[in-house]
Parts: sequence; structure tokens; C-alpha cells
Amino acid sequence: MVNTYWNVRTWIALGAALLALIVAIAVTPGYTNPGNIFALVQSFSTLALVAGGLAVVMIAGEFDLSIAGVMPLAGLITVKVGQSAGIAVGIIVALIVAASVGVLNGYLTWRFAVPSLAVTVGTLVMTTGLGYWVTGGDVVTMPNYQFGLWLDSPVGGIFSPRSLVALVLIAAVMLVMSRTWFGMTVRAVGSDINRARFSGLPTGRAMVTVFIMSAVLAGVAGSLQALSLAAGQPGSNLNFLLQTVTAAIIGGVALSGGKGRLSGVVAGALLLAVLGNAMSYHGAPTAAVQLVSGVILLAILLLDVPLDRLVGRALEQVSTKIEKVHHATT
Amino acid sequence: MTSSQLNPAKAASVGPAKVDSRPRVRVSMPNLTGPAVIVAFTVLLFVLASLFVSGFATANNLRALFLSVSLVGIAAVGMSMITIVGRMFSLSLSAVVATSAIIFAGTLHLGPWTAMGLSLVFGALTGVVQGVLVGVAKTNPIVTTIAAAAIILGVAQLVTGGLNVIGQGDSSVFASMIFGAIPLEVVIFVAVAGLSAVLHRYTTIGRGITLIGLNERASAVAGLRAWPRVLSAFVISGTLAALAGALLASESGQGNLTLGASYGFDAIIAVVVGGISVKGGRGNPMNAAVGALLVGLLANMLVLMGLSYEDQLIFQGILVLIAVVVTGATTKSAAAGKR
Repeated sequence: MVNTYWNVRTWIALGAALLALIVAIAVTPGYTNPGNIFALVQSFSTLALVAGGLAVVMIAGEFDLSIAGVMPLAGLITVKVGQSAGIAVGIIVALIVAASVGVLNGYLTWRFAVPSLAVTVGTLVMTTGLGYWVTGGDVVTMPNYQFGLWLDSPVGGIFSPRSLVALVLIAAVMLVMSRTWFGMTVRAVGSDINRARFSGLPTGRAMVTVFIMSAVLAGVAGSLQALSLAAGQPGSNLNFLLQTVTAAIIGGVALSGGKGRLSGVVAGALLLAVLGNAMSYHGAPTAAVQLVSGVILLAILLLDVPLDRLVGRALEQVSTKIEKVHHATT
Repeated sequence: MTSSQLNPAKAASVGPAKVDSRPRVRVSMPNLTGPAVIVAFTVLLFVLASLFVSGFATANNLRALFLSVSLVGIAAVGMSMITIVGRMFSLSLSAVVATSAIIFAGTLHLGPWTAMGLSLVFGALTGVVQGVLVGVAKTNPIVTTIAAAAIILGVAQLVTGGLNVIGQGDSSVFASMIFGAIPLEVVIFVAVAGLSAVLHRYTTIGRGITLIGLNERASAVAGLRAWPRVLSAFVISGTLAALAGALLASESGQGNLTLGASYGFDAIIAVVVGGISVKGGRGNPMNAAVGALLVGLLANMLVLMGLSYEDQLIFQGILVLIAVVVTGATTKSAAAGKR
């Protein structure tokens, strides 16, 4: 039986995000001024983009820690290559590197049936090392910051080219996941990979593709971020990983795989972006924002199992009742 | 895709003629592969390094090697308990290390032993909370520990203001040399690894932890409840992480949030490289200690051979991938049902 609770979760996430937005607007004078909304959309779009990629992997029943390494690495490569060979080449090289990390993750996970968590720990360390190797351990800067300025210039008041690229990409991924056979395959792989395999679905291809998607989306985010800062710093971005995981979990993507929708993840990203934006508007330190994300994540984890059981039991009762009525009438 | 790839379990059980040879393979395989290979490889590498890498087999370098390995090793031994009980990894380990280092430095004026005790209590408490969440409430260990790390670090940052905490007191007790040559930290590391190995192999709780990691459903049928064992694995892990953190702080008498930041992933690397199956139940804490030693040994060799920190990270990543694939491939047939 399809578990309805996880479908409801999408709406819960959306409701929570809207509630947070309304509360933030209500308690913060000047929250809706275009400058602040612009900043909100900027942080929301990047978060939604990376969280969307991670969510696709999670729906396939796997996990990708390496995005914390791919993101900064893509940024470094973009800046480093972009400096000498032009920005377009830089972005392309960065995305190719990101995609190959995704291929490695996906292939090893699928071929050897090892937990993707362990594989991606390896690629996380490796990409972090590659980042240091590319830059020689230093911060790299790009003298040509015109492109970065253009990326962050306002379009239509609240958008920027950077956030528009991110939003278009996430919309495309949402469409792919909800409207295509590929999306169905990913869901099937996440629910039960053996059954999916016996049904003749291309599980290997799906597995590799989801990891490519998450790596490339993280790569795009890292690349754009580095371009807009005109600088890149080696290291691993674990704080951002926490945010993306939180967004995906709030959005109702189960770690066991096969459940959840990307619209929920986008709502989760919105909730986190609003929270972070509003809290820093009120002058809360970054640590407090981190603390709150942690508490939210924990609260959802604790609520999931009992809520799932509750909804499941209620549905069972309803369906048995319907069955009884059905039997009585026939 | 061939039919054997489609169904590995079927391919393994083809033909009754193979029956007599199968038990022998089953018995000898785990001894030959995975952890044992890693131990052999470590010993081989050690011998090769002593013979061919100049400056390796000196007393000072060996002492530095073991010193650099011991703290990560202590944390890795703790982490291995969580892996063996089938709960993957704890991603809050480095948060616990950093925070217990701060606690150690902050309470050093009460005396080094009190400070150590308080740090360990803190570590055990983080283990209790996460163990209850993962064991009793059955939350996902990865996400639980990610959330726990955020909360621990957030609170620690708010309390300390992100500043360095300098201890008022003397922590040189923990820097003493045993027999005038072996650092105390190394002795503690060896003792911790040995005790954990004994706990894992010869006590009921250790056997219970292994069984739950191997097959949780079967152990539940056998009347073995999972949560007490998961809880104890998390408590051991938290306490050992705090031990590593306190010892780290005792080296400089200070603690801050960036201290031991790499320990979390270093410990995971040690566990994976040591050949402990990420699916749970296979391997023992000693393998994590060997894994830490192997990674440290490799790093030490690479430094002596003139490679930089960044090259080492790449090597470590590749090492992890190889180890994951090797242990995954060798335990595949046994765990095929799990996948």
C-alpha cells in the first residue's frame, strides 16, 4: 500500500514554510523590502538546488556526503580554470569533474552493493584533497569580478541571474522526477532495488544517474557561488551539507528511500532560508541558526515514526471499514 | 547484465555437487579477506618502510607516528562499535571531541583528573542521548548524529563565543612518558584498543553487539533486544571520543571548536580502511585501531617521501574507496540478502 503519510509530509513542509514566512513578516518590520527578499531568494535558491540533488539520491535509497567536497571543488576549478581559459570553460571543466565524481559514487555503490555513505566518505575526502591540490592550499581569487557582479545583479527586483539559473534547474529536476519514467525508476530503486532489478528496470543506470545529478547540481551551486564571490577556498562545506540534509528531511524524503517529493524539499529549503534570514535579520549569531536547524532536524526525526504509524493505523481502519461496507452491499 | 549479476544468491547456490566444497570456502574466506588482509598489508608496509624509506625507522619518527595515530585511533575504536552494531557511523564525533576538549580546558583548574572525568561524563552523556534516539526511538543514525553535531557545536559556540578556552592548571600528567620512552597517549590507545577487542570478543554485551549488527531480525527472534546494545555502543563511542578530545586538549592546555575537527572523518576512514564492514557485524575494534595505524603509517611515509598534505588527502580518499570496495566485495555473498 502506498503510504499516504509521506505524501502528507510534503504539504506539512509547505505549510510550515509558509507559516514561518508569515511569522517572519509579522514580527520583523521591513522584512518584505525588496533588498531582504532578494537576499532570501539568493540563499533559498542555492539551498534548494543542492538539497534537490541530494533528495534525488535519497529517494533512490542512497546518500551523498561528497557534495560537501564537490561544491567547494567545483568553485575552485571554476575560478582557477576560468582565470586562464575563460569563465565558460571553467564552468564546463568544473561540471565535468563534478559529474565524474558522481559516476564514481554511483558505479561503486551499485556494482559492489556497498553503502553509498561509505563510498561518498571516500570521495568526500578525495575531493577535499583535490581542492587543496588544485589551489596549493591557498584561497584563489579571480581578478575578473565583472561576471560575478552581473550574476548577482537584480533581475525583476527580487531575482538575480544566479538565483534564476538555480530555480530553473530545480524546476527541471522536479519535472524529471515527477513526470518521466526515470523518476519512476528512481522511486522503484529506492523502494526495493531487488524488485526493481527483477522487473527489468535499469537499476545501474538509475543509480549512476542520481549520483551524477546530485554531484552536478552541487557543482553548479559551488561554481556560481565562487563566481559571485570571485574567490574559492579549499576545504569541505559540512555546514551546508547539514542544511541540505535538513531541507530534504523536512521536505519528507525518507532515508530508507522511495518516499518523498521534490516540492517538499523545496518547501524545506524555503523554511530553512526564511529561518536563517529572519534570525540573522534579528542579529542572531550563525551558531544559533545552526542550533535551530539541528533542533528542527531532531524534532522531525522523532516525530516521523509515531506520526507514520498513527496515519498508517488510521488509514487501515478506514480501509477495513470501507471493505466491510463493500462486503455488506455485495 | 548477466544472469549471475541479476541474482548473486542464485548463482552461489547452483549445483548440489558443490556442497562439500562450500563449507570450507565459507570458513576460510573471512580469515583470508577483509581485516586479515589489512593487517598483513600494514605489517608489510611497515617492513617496507623500515627498509626503504630513509628516516622512517628512527625512534623519534616511530614515536611521532604512534603519537599522531593514537588519538584518532582511540576515537576510531569507539566509532567501530557503532559500525559493528549496524548503525553506520557517528557524524557527531568531531563535535564531541572539540567540545570535550573545551570542557577539559575549562575545568582544568579543578585538577587534571577531575577535568578528564568531567569530559568523559560529557562524552558518555552525548552517547546516551544519541543512543536512546537511535536505539529506542529508532531514528536514522546518520541524520541523528548530524543533528546532534549541529546542536552540540551550536551550544558550544554560543557558550564560548567561538573563542579559545585556555586552561588554568597543569595537565602534564597526561604528557608523561612510560618507561621514559613511550608516551602515555600511546599506552592509553593500546589499552583502549585491547580492552575493546576483549569486550567485543569475550563478553556477552560484545557478542550481542556483533549479532545485532549481523542480523537484527534474527537476534530479535532469539530474544535479544537491540536498543540496550545500540545504546552501549553509542556510550562507548561518545566516551572514547571525549577521551581523545581531553587528551588532545591536555597537549596544549587549551580547547577550541576547531580542535580535532578532522577526527570525525579520520575515524570513519580508519574504521573503513581497517576492513570493518559498514553493513555491521563484521570486524572488531582492533581492526579500527589497525586502520588508524595504516592511515597514519601511509601519511608518515608519504611525508618522508616528500608529499604534501593535499596529496595525502587524495591518497586517503582512494584508500577508503579501495577498502570499501574490497570489504564490500568479500562480504557481498553473505550480505546479499540485505541489499
